Amino acid sequence: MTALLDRFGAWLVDRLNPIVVKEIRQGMKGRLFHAWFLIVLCIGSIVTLVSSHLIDELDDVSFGRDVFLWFVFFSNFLALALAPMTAYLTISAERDDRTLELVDITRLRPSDVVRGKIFSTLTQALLYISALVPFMVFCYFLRGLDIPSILLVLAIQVLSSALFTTIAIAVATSIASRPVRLIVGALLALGFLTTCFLGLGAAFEIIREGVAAEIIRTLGETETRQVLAGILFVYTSTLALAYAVAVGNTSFESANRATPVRIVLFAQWLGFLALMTWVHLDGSHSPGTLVTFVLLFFALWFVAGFWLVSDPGRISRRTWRHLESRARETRFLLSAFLPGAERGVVFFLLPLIATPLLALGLRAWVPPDPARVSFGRFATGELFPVFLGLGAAYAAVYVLGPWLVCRLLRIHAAAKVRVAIVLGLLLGLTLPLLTLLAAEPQSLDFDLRLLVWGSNPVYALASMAEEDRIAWTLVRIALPTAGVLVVAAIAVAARRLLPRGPEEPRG
Amino acid sequence: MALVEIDNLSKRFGDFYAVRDVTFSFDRGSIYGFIGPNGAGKTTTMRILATLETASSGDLRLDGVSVLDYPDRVRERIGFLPDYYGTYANTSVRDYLDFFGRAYGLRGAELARRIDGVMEFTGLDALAEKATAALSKGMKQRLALGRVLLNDPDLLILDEPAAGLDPRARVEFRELVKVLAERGKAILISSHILTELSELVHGCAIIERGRIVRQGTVAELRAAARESRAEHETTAVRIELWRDEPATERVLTEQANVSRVVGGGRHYGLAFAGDAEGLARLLRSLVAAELPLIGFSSDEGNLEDVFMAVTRGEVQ
Repeated sequence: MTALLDRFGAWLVDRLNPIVVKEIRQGMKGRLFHAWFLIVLCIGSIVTLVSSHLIDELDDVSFGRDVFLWFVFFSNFLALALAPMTAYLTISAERDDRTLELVDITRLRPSDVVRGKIFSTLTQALLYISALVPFMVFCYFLRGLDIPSILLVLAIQVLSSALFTTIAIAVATSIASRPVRLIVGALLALGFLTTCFLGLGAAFEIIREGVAAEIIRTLGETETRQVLAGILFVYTSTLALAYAVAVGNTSFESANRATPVRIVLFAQWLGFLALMTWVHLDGSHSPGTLVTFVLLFFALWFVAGFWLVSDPGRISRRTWRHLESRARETRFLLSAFLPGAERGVVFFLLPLIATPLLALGLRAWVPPDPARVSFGRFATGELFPVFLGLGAAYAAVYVLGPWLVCRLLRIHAAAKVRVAIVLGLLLGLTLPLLTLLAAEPQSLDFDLRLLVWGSNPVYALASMAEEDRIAWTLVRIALPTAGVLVVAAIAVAARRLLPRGPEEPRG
Repeated sequence: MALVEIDNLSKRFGDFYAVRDVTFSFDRGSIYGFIGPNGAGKTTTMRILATLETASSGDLRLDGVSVLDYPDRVRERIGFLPDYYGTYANTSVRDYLDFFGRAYGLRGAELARRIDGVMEFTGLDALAEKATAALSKGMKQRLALGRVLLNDPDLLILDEPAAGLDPRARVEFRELVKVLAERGKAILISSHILTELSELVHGCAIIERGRIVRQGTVAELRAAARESRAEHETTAVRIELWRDEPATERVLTEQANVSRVVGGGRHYGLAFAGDAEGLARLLRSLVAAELPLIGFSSDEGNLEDVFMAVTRGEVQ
């Protein structure tokens, strides 16, 4: 029997991704894994023992739910914070020790490396959660819970863990500088921890409102389908983008890193258009939903744009010839998908310009229905193009401004271009806030406040859903102001903070 | 056609050339030395050959296959040993080799046979279950060599493999390299320890500021160095101290007729313009300066002298 199991183990290991095998072996030998596993078991046992004792004293029908939320909080921490941060730190350590490039020159492809990292991290997270599952099932017998809710919460945890892990890997592989990686890592950890708390609130709502059962019951309704399609779209497109960026960053500079990312972005744009058209034609949405989706879309495009415009495009001659020959017939359309920062800028701009135009076309095609006016001016299509146009212009200003500055200052290194773009984005987002905090907002003139407010795209976009007059004023005054301010600030910052000249040679 | 051909290779960072018009070639079974001061472009050239970086112009071919055009094909036939070890935490020697073997596409009995083979060759079989992080530098270097041998490559690229090793580990590593060359591997090796390299290499190229300043067999380079020295009327002097003395470089630089000083720690080399009487005066002066001198020789025959003669010590 033992020999049979050994043979099966060897057979399985031979078929698994080598990275998964290595990482799991490393994890099992590390003290951290054992320590966390022990902590998980101890907490599970203690909570179960205490709740078993209390159940006799309390006659609370929702007691099982309260105990379950404790486990959710802890498993959220393991799946949504510990697992992604482990992946982030592992990749960072591999970059520092330069073991990643030793793996790169083996037969493993960059996609194998990234998938291996994701699956090994998920396996460890699942091992932690599996230790909690018996305790979670125990909660079911304490009343106040239904099986679909438990399964939905667990499924969301696992899917979120996969997404956060992929994002963590994409971020870790994007940053070359160790100090920057440490700072970003701390911010990322803070973000993941915040998500743990938000996830706890979501789990509470799912269980209290019986969301799982409600979804099953209303699956035939358009609103439910739209919400599910929206969530699925945001999830898959973000996951695909993070994965493509991580694979691109892990690839050699001679490989074509750009085209897969651009294909994912293009598919994302098409998906976004399809979703928005569906929502628009159906007219059963709320402006808040639209704002959320558009903000998410632009957030992703900010990230993507920042990656695209810093693409060095140093691919091998053969790959280049291959791409060019394939693009010959449809060069005009396909050249934006080819590597290179300038083509990245073109690729970045085209959908941003095309989206409001398509929205205008859609408006002309489907005339406003008076019955839909009650949903606000978004639903009529009147404000939709302006909304997208403003977002597109902000994205262009915040990404193109720093890119332009980098070109003028002859900053070519991808890492430095990215630093300049991040600085531009941070300045654009935080300066208005800081200015408002420093001065008394009440004492400011209304137009001046708008000027400051308008330079922050998040405020501007969100305000459009609430008050059209403010939105239209923002369109007039905010864009040129924000553009000039950011470009000027970055020009000064880039000149002082970013050294000019070539990259440091090796050897 | 030689197995490895590097043809007018250049690598540019903006306006700056890290490597410029580098051309050399070597064949199977030969050990080719790549010598140059820090920042000369050795590692950049090696990394381009290892497919880790791209070139700005020129070409590199392995058995006629362009490294720049077909990096995937070339990767399967090379082993790159960089100037760092690349070990993992919580990983034993066997697990480390097992991982890289799998990464090279080996599985099952073939993988086990290769791992046993490289562990025996590198002398790591007794340390199979030891954590890689706990290995000595010499053993880590052997492990790294074992890693690249798993793939049974035609070309080995060894970047400063002897750096940081103790004398015994250096000698042992050198012997392993010789055996690999005898087995038909082409080996490109860079090192700062030129005396050792001269006993090992069949040919070498000297690079400075991204350009090859001299190349050929060791005998050819020695002859060229003698000519150069006669032309410039300089003598290479080697100095050995019994302990590290911080003031040594300053004292040596201040001496009359000393045009260049290289080295550090307990070993220095000088370019000295003068005759035997001048050498005697130099020796007296160094003793008077209370340097802890235990060796003083003028040598015209080794690679270090060649290096001293053809390079200017300029960094870029």
